Amino acid sequence: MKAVKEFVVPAAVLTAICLVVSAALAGTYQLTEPVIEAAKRAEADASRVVVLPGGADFKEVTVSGVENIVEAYEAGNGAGYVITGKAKGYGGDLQVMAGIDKDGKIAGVKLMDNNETQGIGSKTGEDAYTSQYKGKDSTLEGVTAVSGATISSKAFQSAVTSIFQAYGSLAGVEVAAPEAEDYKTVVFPDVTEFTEVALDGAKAAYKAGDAGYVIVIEAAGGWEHAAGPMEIYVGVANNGKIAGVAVGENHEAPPSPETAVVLKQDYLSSYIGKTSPDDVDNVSGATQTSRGIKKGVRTAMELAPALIGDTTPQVDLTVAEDGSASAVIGAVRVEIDATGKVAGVFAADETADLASVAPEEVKEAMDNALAAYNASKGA
Amino acid sequence: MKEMLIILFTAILVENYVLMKFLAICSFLGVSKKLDAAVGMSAAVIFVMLMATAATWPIFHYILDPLKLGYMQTVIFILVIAALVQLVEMILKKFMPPLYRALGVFLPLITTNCAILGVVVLNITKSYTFAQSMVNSLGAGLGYLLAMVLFSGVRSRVDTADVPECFKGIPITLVAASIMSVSFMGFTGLVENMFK
Amino acid sequence: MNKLKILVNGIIKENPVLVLVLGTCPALAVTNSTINGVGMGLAATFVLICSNVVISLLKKVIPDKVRIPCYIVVIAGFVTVVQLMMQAYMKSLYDALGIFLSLIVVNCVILGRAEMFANKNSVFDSFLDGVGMGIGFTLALFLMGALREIFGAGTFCNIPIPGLSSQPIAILAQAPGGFFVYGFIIAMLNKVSHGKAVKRKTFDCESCPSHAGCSGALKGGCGR
Repeated sequence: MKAVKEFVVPAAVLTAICLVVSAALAGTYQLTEPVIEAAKRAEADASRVVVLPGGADFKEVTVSGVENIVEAYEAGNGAGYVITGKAKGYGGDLQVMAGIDKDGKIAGVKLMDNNETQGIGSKTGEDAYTSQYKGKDSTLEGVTAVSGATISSKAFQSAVTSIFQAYGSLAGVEVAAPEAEDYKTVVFPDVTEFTEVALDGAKAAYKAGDAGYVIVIEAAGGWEHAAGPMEIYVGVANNGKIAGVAVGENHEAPPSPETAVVLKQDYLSSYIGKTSPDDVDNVSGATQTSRGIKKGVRTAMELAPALIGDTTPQVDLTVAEDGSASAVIGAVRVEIDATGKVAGVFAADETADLASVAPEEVKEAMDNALAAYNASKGA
Repeated sequence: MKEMLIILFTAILVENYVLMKFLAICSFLGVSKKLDAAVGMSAAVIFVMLMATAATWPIFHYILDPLKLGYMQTVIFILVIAALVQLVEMILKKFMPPLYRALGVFLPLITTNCAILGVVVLNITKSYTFAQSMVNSLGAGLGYLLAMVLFSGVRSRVDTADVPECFKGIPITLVAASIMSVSFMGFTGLVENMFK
Repeated sequence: MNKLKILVNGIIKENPVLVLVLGTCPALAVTNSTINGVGMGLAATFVLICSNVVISLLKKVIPDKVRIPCYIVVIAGFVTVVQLMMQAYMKSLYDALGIFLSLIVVNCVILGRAEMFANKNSVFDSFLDGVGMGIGFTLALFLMGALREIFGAGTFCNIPIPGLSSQPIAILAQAPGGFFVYGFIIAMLNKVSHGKAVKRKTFDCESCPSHAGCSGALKGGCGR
């Protein structure tokens, strides 16, 4: 009897109370659940209306065959779609929600989950950046990156591109991919026709009209924390000189403004006219990236002869009986006396004026003529 | 591994359960007077936190969630914690008397320590995996220990300090806690960059 | 007259937050804005009134040995009801209060009133006590929330205050500000009442009203 009072009764009471409470809660839950669901839906819809004004009654739809899509909703009233896509940003995946109206134009975008650096990459979530997407179609023409936050901006843009692909598959329309910046035209701005050619050791190579070749090298990332390799476009002119250098896709995060500078033409144009990267200066503050680019350019220049052939200049050398010689190189005729000194320089074309030839070319012609003369003497 | 370290140090420093999240304030202010009591209480909290997480995580993910009984979470969790504390107390008393003497006195206090319920509920809300939940609980407990030990040092000075009459006792203790909380704000942003 | 005393007791003489210094966690955590503070206060009031009434009804049935677990289950039940209701009808407040809504379960004001009042008094008295204590709790949270919002964010119930909204003392709305404002309010109460108003003088277990519930185990624990 004592045992009953001491153990059974308390246990029974506690159990009874638990059961009553559970039953009461189950009842409450049954009553509130539909309202909770509705409230949740309303809240989720409210966040979707932000990117797709006029949308209502959203229903989840599945997207197949498109990567990097988190979720997709179709507005029941036909206003369009709200799709969330993701892409790898600077601090891991970032998610972007975009509303696409029935005309296939962006109604609004919003940065969702992300780990972008506060104050830098996070600026892609600000109105100043997101508002430029409004009204854009899938080409995203004219969208510019947040300066200093190139990686986050690129990721944002890539997420939006994925969203458009999903939209294309949902709405059953062809979606034009945004035109990637063509780095080939950056290194050969005057050339419009590029034909792909095979080149061992390069990621790709193109013949750039008659101007030369573009060699694309996948070089290891220069920055020690770079998440991947960088793509370097080297334009090689027919004379074996660098016509231009551009850095394509890369993961050189710019924690410093210097890194951003290195990737731009202001710096890269210092390669133009050189034959090797050796006398291009590194940018202090972005030495690693500078070196990475140099390595890529060097590889390209090593591969270049396979395409443009030996660029040792053709020297048309005529040696006279007395030991003097005359050589025609390009537009320049160089006269060399018997002692091996330059006696005179003229335009190769009798009627032309030497002044019309670039001084560098003249100097080079002199050097080459002398080299050829000396070679012939040695032989 | 990196992710685990981030969760651990975030729980200890950036989101310190006491100073930044305001959990377990009662015991933080009540038991931090003496260092040995502070350490004993913290050890008991860490112990129960880990046990409670190990018990509640499977209950939620294997019983409540599949049965759509998520709304019973609060009731079940507090009961589990209360039962667990009782059980731990009995086991310690019987099989590990030295440990019981060290921690036993603090155990009954712990059922109503909101850091315990707080951490197990947060593990569910943040949808941590089991391993992540355990690490988060460990971090929460270590953060509690850190706050307790630091604050017991502060209080031994504050209690003898000459402060205005109206600030004596509770108010100055709270102001001291406020200043300590300011120092923990300095950890914001630290952890993500620590494990880059 | 006696009934009125019970009601007013919790609001002024034994205000749980400002006089007894209980329920400190929510008082600090959710008072970063006025609306959150009042929302928390009302949620806790609802739970307090209901649990006081139910526990008073069941005081003869509940065996002494399991009374604390029984109280906790009852309180947790009402907390879940509040959670479900808020989720359904006040989603934004539910999200703002977050985990602290669940933590009403371990709020020592509620467990303390169950232990100290409801299991000794009539149902109606317990109801009045719950109402009084709840109002006192809500008012205190309102005061803290208003002060922190006005000076920390320069707004009151999200309405900007001219002059203040441009120069907010942001730290008051953050964690350290919670401790500071609370300490400051209690110091001011001490000042105006010459140290008589605030019942609890220091932080230790002896001055805790739910001390009785755990004192047996705690002898030599807290106080040593």
